[in-house]
Amino acid sequence: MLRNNKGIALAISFLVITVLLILATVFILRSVGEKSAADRERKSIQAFYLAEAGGNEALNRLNVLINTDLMFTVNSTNPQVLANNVRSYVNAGNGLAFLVNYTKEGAVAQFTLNGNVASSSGQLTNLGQGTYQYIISVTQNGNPVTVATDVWDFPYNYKATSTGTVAGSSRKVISSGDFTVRVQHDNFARYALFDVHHSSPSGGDVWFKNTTNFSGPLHTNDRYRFYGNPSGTFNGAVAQHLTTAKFFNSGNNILLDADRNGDIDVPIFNDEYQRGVNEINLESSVTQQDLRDQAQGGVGGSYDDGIYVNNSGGNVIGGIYIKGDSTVEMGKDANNNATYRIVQGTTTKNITVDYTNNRTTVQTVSGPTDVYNGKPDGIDNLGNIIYVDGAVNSLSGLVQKDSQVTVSSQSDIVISNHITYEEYNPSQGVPGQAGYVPPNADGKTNLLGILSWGGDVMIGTSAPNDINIHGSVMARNGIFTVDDYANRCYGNPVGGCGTATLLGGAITDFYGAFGTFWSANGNPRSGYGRNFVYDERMAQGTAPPYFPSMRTFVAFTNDITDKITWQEGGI
Amino acid sequence: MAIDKKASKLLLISAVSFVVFFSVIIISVNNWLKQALKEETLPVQPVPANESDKPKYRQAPIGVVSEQMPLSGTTAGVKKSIIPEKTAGSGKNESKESIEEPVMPAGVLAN
Repeated sequence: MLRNNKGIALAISFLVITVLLILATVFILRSVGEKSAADRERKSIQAFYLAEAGGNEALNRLNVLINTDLMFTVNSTNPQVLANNVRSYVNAGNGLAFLVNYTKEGAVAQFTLNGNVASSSGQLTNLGQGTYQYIISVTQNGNPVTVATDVWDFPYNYKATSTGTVAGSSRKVISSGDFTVRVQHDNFARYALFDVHHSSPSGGDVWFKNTTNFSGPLHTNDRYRFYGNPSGTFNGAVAQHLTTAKFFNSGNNILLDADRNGDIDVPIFNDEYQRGVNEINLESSVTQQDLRDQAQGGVGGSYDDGIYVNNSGGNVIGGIYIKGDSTVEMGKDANNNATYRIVQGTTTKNITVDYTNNRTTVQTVSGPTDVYNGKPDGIDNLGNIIYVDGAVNSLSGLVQKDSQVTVSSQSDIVISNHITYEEYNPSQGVPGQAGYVPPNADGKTNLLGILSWGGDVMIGTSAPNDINIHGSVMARNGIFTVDDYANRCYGNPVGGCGTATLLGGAITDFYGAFGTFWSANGNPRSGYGRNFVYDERMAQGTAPPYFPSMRTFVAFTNDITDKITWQEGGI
Repeated sequence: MAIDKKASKLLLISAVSFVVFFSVIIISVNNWLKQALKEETLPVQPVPANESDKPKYRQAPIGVVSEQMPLSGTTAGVKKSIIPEKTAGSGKNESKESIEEPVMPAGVLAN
């Protein structure tokens, strides 16, 4: 029993201290708990973003696997071997085997086949405070099909599963969709300029100079020639087979393995300029006889001079076949139908193609008018085909908006006036100057091929200044040039005939001249400056109907990301 | 109730000691929390090398499935453009006509 109250303060102090210690402990425990919860939430969010990053990379990787690895393997395989193998895959309905066997990097297969799933895994990648890893799984979306001879489609489904992990916290993102791989012959229309020999047929130099502008890819099996500063503007990849380029060098021509000659000759490359690349063989899988057959509808034999739209039972069975030299003027009528006014000798025919009613009307001037079912789009119905066994002495006019047509000739084709698409987006600004926006026909249907098998394609002497030509030009064994380029517009105060703008591309054996200039100062003297604009549609596998293709094959897809389904799934 | 001087001193010392001790703990925990939360930031998604590499789809909110929309006007699929290799042939021209190249005057070049 206590004898007095001494020591009560000590007891109270301990009591207070005990209570405060309890409160402090609760506070600390709560703080630690909240910190722990915040850590978990933060790690989860970090893991999600990492998973999403992996998903994005997986889609990019799939694009590389198909449009780079598969494309390269297919393109570098012997065409006959490739065709035989692809046919066997198609016949067996085994699209996955094609994918696994032809998607390679350095001969190493990039997909692993497990049952009916082909998989390709990405490496574990560190990013921020965590890691991500993805796996791409591909299955067949139906059997591969033969679209036409030497054209096949391989349909697939894909699922890209990406997992992000941060300090033990994981999240998963799944992207899925489908795509179709098209295998077909490579085509020449994908060049703004392709020439085997980058010189005139006699070996003379034809120079790139300040009035030369290219928007799109260039390739030559020869070397390019550059004059002056600037010596042209190139808004696309430029490639040549030889390792040195030729520079004018103020008259003392010089060969250099360089993309400029000091400050004397300076081309402007807004993309890469590669030298020493492999040659591309102009040999085509399509022959002149193939196009003749398509135009004749398979009706061979001897033809007299004239204009023929072969038919059977009231149906057009081929294209438009012309025997003898002729002129062709394209256009449209009051009902927006495509028209072709063709003159051969003393015969003139107005051929109207009605796309709405799938009907072709052939009106012979001072003669009968016949109406047929169908369009003059050849045996394979790829698009309108006009084949001339002779020369086309005049080609001009408007390509109606629904028309895809190739004008093919055994001999020369002379462009006598503007040739334009009915639907296209006009250019803005001045070629070669800042802010210039070249014309384009993206998303439009109208398409033209101008193809000379044995002659040249020429801009004729009656053509206007600043001419516009919309179409892909191919002079299989000749040049694309300006007739009388050394005298056309000579003495014109502004110097020459202005600029010839091509929306499409030029594929030729030699490089034809468009004009001349004074070597002392580079000023235009005669002919045209050159503004070649690549038609971007050609990069997507599009080409004018029956346009010649290379013997080699390509494989590509352009619809991986067109309809992705995306979902987040926890682990 | 009277409290002797010794008890008062002890109480005062205890209270001051506890306040100091508690303050030190609070400040330490507070600093630790601030430091811990400050050091760790959310990671940034990797940026594609260029815009064309960027997957063209819209991101859905977390946990929501979305139908992706193409950003450009390009259409899926490809066009027929090739005809079969039905006949053997070299593809060479059947005839070749070419224009004569003009002789250039001195000081004149072709472009």
